[in-house]
Amino acid sequence: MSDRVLTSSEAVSVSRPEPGKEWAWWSASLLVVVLLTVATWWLNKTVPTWSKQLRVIEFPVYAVLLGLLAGGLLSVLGIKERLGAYFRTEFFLKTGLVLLGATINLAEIVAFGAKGLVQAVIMISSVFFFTWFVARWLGVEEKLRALLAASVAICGVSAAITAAGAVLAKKEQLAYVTGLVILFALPLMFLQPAAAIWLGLSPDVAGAWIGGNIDTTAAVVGAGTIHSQQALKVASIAKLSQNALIGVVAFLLALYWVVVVERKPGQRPSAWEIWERFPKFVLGFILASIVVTLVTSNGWVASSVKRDLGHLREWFFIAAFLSIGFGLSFRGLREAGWRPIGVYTLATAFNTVVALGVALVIFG
Amino acid sequence: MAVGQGASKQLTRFFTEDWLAVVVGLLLVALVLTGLLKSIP
Repeated sequence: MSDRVLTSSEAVSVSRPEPGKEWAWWSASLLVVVLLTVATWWLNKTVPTWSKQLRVIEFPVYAVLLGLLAGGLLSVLGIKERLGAYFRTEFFLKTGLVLLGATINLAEIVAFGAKGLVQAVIMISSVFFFTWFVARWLGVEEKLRALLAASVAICGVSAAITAAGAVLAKKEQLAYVTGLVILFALPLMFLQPAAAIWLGLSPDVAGAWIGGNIDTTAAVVGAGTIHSQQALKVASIAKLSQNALIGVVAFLLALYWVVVVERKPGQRPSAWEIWERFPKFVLGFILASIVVTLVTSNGWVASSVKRDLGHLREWFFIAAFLSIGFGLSFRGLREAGWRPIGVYTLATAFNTVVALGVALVIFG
Repeated sequence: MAVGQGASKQLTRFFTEDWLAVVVGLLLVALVLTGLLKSIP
């Protein structure tokens, strides 16, 4: 199995079973993926009900752990490769990304008004480039750099997934960054509302600060709730404004990768070459977003369809992270080293300070 | 290379997982929007 999550030619099977038994192994593989996906979905619904602190742990954690467990067990039994046919990270991830596009209502950017949009653009661009240059300074690999910058600047897990699709990252890199996002979100969820109260910020400023800084949507909701109802409302709007721009960032990142990073020395890629190497899911993402925005804004379809699309997206992302866990290499994680943790710490500190300044100027 | 082989190669080249994800994703969006797929847990 390839260690790149997202190459389009990821091998289906390393050792081919006997022709007559192929279908039996494929069916068994599909069954394993479905059962593990359902188990992860159940854990994701059930565990947060046990304690408030556990709410911030999102599905990628359960999915990667179950995938790792299943991979280890099947490896011991000697059937991991034969049962690996349906652990298709690329397919699940990119289908989930098209569905993510469908849940982003472009009209909301306009509805939030200029304040939300200005805040989102300032935060995304400043934090993205700060993280990018700090990571370069610390010698972090290019693809990992893109994932780190996107996840801190936009919206954590979803942004890391989108960036991984745009730059064809390794599955270990995505698992690493997702782990960092969740690890950092947990203390911020409690510390930031406490700091906002201590600083005497108004609910509007506190909400804008929380929404502009904390990466994962679940932790933003948690932190907003701890502060006040008004802070929760503003924080959710600020976060949604950033999420809405994820397609723009994915498009630019994919284009940059094809035109600049992967360019052969001394050659200018042709339009056809750019088209061929450009990740097509970005087009599906944008098309789905435009279609759903049009039909829901005009009242042709109830806006409640977004809930179903969101749930569907989660199923695909769960299957994707299970597949990541299934084929995860600890060597790949070790290769990434400690530097990404340093980058994430510096980027989060920068994000916290800039988000407070922007919130005070725009919402104060 | 035979014509059939060329067409098959072209089809395989076009139908990468990247495109497959776009087709399946948009199909699922269409099913949800038309109400054929609903109440997803």
